[in-house]
Amino acid sequence: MKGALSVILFFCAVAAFAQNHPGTSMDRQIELMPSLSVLNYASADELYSPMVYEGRGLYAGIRITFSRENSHHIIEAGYSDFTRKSEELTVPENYFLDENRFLELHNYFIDLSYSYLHQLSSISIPSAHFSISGELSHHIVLDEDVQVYPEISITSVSPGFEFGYSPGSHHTIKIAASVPLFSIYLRNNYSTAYPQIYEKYKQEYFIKHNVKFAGPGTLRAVKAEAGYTYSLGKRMALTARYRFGFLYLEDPRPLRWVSGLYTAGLTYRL
Amino acid sequence: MRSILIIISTALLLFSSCEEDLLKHEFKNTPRGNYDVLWSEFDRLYGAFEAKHINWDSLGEVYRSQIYDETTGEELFSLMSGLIAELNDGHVDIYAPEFGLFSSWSRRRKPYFKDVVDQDWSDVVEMRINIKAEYLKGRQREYTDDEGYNFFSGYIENRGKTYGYLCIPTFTSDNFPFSFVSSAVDSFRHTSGVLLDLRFNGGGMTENFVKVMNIFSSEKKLFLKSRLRDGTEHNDLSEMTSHYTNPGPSSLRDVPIAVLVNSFTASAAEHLLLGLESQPGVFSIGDTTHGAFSTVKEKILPNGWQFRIGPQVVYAPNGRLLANEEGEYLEGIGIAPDYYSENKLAFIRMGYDLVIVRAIHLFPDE
Repeated sequence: MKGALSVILFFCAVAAFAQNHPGTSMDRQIELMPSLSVLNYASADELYSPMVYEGRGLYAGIRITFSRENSHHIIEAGYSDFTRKSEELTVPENYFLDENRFLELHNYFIDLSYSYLHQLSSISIPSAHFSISGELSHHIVLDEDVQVYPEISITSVSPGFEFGYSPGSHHTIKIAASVPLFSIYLRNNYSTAYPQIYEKYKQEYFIKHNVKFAGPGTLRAVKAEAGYTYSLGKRMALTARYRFGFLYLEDPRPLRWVSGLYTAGLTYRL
Repeated sequence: MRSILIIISTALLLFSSCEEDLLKHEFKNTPRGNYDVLWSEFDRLYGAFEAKHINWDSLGEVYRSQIYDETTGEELFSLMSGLIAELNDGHVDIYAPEFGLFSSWSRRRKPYFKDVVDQDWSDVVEMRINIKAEYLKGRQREYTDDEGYNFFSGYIENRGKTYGYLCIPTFTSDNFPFSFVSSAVDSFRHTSGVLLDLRFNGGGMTENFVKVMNIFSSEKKLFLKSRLRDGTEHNDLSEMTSHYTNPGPSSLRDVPIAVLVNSFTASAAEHLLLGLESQPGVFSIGDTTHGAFSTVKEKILPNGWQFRIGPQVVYAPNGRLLANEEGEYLEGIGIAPDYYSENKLAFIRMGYDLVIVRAIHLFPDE
């Protein structure tokens, strides 16, 4: 309830800001894009199991873009939760455990990001634009069924680019990609275990001992997306977007994940 | 424009739902595939290979060479059991629904009492009924948790002296009856001694045993050190962690304590014993404990069989491996009591619990 109220207040603030700073389509612009996606997610986290667990679920997101001339500030948030299973795992009949912690994982996915795009003016292709970008993103995958600890919580700074092309007044195609330059991440420790005496202070101990830094040599990841926007007029547009994500992190034991986010969104220009 | 849409649609269809195929599936549900998962998970996570002088590579080859595509489930379970039996570890086991549980622990078939052959839980129940009737005279306080574990306490009168008695059958409970334990401890403050019965207590949750340990502790003492597996090499272990008792204002003081143990006193109950043995006025009596000191991690094989690994190595307060006089690491071997006394079911049926009888005689005269 508190979270919902915060979201409503945030949008009210955005609307108020927009009304107090009326702009034209050429200089200032604010866009809101609520979206609904299907998230495909598969990972093998060897801290828990060498097997690949995969699943898909609905993903709700919101994207707010503040634009002024060649500068774009984008805030995005998304959430999903669903259950994943392993195709490699054969479940015997009469399984004795009440707690099916290995049979399926119930995951919560939370994404938050802020991106800055600077549109380069030197590009000479008609109806096209090219931007360089910098993104600060935070991504959390919580594995409720394995431990109360996250599979990963990672904050990254990622440089990237975006290329846009408008073949007609209503149509825009965009491709974009970014690669993390450095990240701060939190995963469980190598043994996923704690000295007995720390049981009472697990969360504190967990965070203190497991926050780590990763550079390009230790974290291999990429985020790439392709999207199409159809403008319905001055204020509305429809967007279809595909975003691919890949991550490989060696420490403390290998984690590999791939994700595909299939998004449909409705953009409203304030 | 149409061509652009076709390109986008084709690209989306190409990618559609196939992301997971980009992750390589490394393990197959074959006899060798399952064996390799078991072996490699132990190789990467088990803590005590060096403490127990175990050549895991060599053992892996010995058992792997006996596994073929035609190996039956029963044969595979037997070979995997053989492999983990080499560890003789109280916390290592494997479970297959069709073949049951196999414990690595070498005393896995040890009878509950010296004069019987089989492990029959009803004998343990009978022992506890006997304690309530013969020693507590039916005036015990009791608490039975959701899983049926029966905690009970009372007084034992002997030669004009009063001794407190408390049976803690487990530490597994999510709703551990600490107020029951605390209340019993409060009532023991003016007794001539306390018998804390941990026989057949197979352990459980850390926070439960820590609370009990602290209420029975009168001094802050280092009683154990430990390290956790922290890397792919067998000697990759974390920094040493010190485990202390931490008494509070309501802790029991100046009352001698006898801790009753046997071979089925395991895990958290053994940590409790180590903690209490660091305290003044505490002695243990009964049989050598189980030998399950490491924290434990559960894992699963591609065929669904489940197994447990201990990633922890434990050390005495002086920093040396927790070992017996022969230098053997105690995981799987257990802690020898200060006073050895094994029970016989025949005596229990006659109304005598030999461990309790001897413990009472060992309390110091005031």
